[in-house]
Amino acid sequence: MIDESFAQNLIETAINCGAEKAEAYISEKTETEITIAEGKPESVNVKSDQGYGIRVLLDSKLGFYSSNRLEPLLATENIRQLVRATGLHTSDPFNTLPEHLADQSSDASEIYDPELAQIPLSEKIKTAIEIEKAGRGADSRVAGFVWILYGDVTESYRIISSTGIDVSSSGTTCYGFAYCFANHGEAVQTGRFAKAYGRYSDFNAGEIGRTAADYAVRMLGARDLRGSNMQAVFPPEAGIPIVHALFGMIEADSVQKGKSPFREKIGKQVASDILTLIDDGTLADGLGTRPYDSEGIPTTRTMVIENGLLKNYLYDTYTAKKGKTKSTGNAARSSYHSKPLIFPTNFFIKPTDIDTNEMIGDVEKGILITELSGLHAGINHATADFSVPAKGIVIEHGEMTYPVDNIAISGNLFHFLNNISVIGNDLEWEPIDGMIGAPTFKVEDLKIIGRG
Amino acid sequence: MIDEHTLNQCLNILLSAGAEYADIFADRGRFYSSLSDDRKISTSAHEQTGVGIRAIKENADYYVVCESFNPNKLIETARRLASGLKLAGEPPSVSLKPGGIPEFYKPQRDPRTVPLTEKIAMLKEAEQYAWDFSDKIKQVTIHYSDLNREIMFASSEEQEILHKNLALIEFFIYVYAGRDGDERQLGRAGKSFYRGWEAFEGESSPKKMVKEACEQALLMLDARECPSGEMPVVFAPGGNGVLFHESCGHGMEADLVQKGSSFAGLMNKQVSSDKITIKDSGLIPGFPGSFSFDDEGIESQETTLIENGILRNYLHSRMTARQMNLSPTGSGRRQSYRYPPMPRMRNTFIEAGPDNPEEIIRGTRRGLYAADVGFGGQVDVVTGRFITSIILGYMIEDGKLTYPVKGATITGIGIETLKDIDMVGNDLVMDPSSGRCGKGQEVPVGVGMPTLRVKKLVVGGAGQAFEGQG
Repeated sequence: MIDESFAQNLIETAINCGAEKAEAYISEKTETEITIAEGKPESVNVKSDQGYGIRVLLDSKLGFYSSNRLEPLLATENIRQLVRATGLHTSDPFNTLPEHLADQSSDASEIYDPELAQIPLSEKIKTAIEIEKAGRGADSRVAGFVWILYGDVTESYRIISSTGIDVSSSGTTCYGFAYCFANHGEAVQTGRFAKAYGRYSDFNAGEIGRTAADYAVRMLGARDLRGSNMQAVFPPEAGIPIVHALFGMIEADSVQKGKSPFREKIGKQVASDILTLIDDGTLADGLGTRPYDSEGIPTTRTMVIENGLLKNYLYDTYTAKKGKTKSTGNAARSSYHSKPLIFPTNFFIKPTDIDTNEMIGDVEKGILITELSGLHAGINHATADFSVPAKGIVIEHGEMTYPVDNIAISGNLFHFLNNISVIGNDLEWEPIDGMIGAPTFKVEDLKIIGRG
Repeated sequence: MIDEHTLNQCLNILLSAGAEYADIFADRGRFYSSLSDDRKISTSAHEQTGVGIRAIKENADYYVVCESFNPNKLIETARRLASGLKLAGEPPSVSLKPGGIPEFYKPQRDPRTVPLTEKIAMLKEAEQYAWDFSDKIKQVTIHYSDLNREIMFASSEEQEILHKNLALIEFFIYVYAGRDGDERQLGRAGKSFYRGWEAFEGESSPKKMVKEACEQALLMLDARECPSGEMPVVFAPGGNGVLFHESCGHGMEADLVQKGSSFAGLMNKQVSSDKITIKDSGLIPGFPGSFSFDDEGIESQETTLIENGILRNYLHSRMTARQMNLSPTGSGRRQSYRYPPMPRMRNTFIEAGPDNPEEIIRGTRRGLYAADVGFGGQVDVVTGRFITSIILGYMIEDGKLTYPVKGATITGIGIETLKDIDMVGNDLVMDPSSGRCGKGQEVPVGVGMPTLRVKKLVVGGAGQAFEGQG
């Protein structure tokens, strides 16, 4: 790891050059990515990096510089230039660097697997090959895989500031992805599945390969459907993209810039009263859990929607100051060369104790939505109207029947959220910008557009 | 950056360990950007330097990164990679010499020499011009950046040391227009070039781009909801090429062909109307996908993908060319030293066709005119299935452009859409505005196309159901 004195020097240099406050973020990261084709490695990529990002504040102006060149003389010169460039910015009264607060400690801990560093590359390649094997073995109609990926990341960072912040954390993640195609006669269907794990020993190659295969196979023989309004059940793989889209609308930056349909709705009913949506950076064993965010603020558990009422947006220090509130600890950086931005930690719909099978068994005539595509392009952020291409499986008399393709779900997001009638117990997670989680849920009276 | 002796040594370590091919990609990058957002200007800068060392063995790509030009560290990294390859083979050797591919980038005024104050003044002037354009302009965001990458390359194949400089300037503006209480309408414009500061003169002056964005946003304030249904769609020339880049171009990248893309198995077969010729070129001066040699040392070239409707070539990296026993097409590109190269598009365009663009509109009784698709959608690059919203569109009625429409989305499958093209204009426009293309790693690309008509596309909109035919 870059030593502490290097970081201290960066801050001292900035202050000597005229900055009022300065913050250094130093990080070290090792990433492995292995892709597999036809039972053999296709690419093996190992990269390690270390670098720093420094933010300086002067006259309500905030400047940023980052580098992976660690020569002290070069760093000194670049920080001098940074302070000079920052002087040319426009002042913004909400620019700030967080102060160290007396109660600033955190009990949350990030998952760190010390064993990961000991696993030889050849072992990881074998694990990646296992994903494909499991997928091919799952069903005779599996025709092949477009992608098979194993990846892991080990990252340590430390934040030191002239305002008294000094925090650090280390974490590990392993992840896998499979993109399968299956055929039966002429028809080809695809299935994708991604999952992340905190520890190498938890990595389940079989689960990834088999699930992707199942997602492809279950869609074989898909028919067209005559459109109508009906009950729709969203399993986690269809609900997670919706939860992710909601994040983009309740993070404070989009709200403050007037781009969110949730603006000016705090305290108002925005969803069915059984819906509770939480961002929890302290969740025990959560893969998005960490003690402090990327500005050194302790992470928190924030109720975003509680029993259908909009309670809170999610903030970093800048948007918090602008919104006259406290940061929720949602700042994150993808690496040392990114400025902190608002990201989810563990962002999820709170599960209940209702069994998913029970939920489907109660449907007289409806649909299980299995895939949504292009949700981001399909939602109008000003009006919250949406129209999104989808696939599904028809439910009749409580039984899953045949798959359907070429359908779309359509409506208004607020009506959609208000029409959620049952939430299940099977919370699942996916790594998208952070961790996004959803249990299966049921929506009443959803407009399904079909061409049958 | 790195001395010849060290490069030789690293390559020899890999070849001795059984690599069939090895290369070294050294990259010294400096990035500067400034942003004007909500009447506030800020800047940031970034340096990233490192070396990617790569070996190919049994059709697998092995890649490691060293974030230093220090000879000892490089040799140690090469040894680490070699130990992963395991097998010891015949001890071959390379002996590098200077390569002869000339430099492509010839700026009159290198952006690195432009004082910060001048860059900020340009941004302030552009921003003020946008705010003054109309009192209905409610938000302005302008992004300027310049990056400079010095690249040094050596491979075991040509045994030459090559140098190139990649210096990209980007300028993008987003404005939102609104009336009180009204929803906000987006207008956008922008360009990216491998050129010097002189890129901002004439046709591509910041003011001109700001005006274009403001006019678009204001126009959209009066737009009606787009009708929904299947209808003929006429695409405006230029930047709309991004739709074909996304939904067809990716399917002709050889690595995705190997993954079973919609263009697999169709070589020398009819894949579209015979009015369609699609090329991908790395040779258009100043364009974001142009360079002297690609990121694995292959001299830049132009590749004809589809010729009069017949599929003629895929885009190849060294790896896919080896696997398919063909020549690389100069399409091996990487975002930086941190990424191994893969087949990528450069500047992809549909060639001019036989039809008069005015005739195309006149010959369409009812349909949608897509002025700016501005791909903000999603595409499955393997199947070519896409959905995207159209930023600016007009309805065509009785062969004339009528009112602007908003909220339109189009969905389809790339290769099917190509087959449904029935008219191709003679007005090819090249457009450097598409910015960066993502495929796990980002590279700058350009696009181009003439006016063209797709007989039928599925259009989603909040307006009433579409009736009538083209």
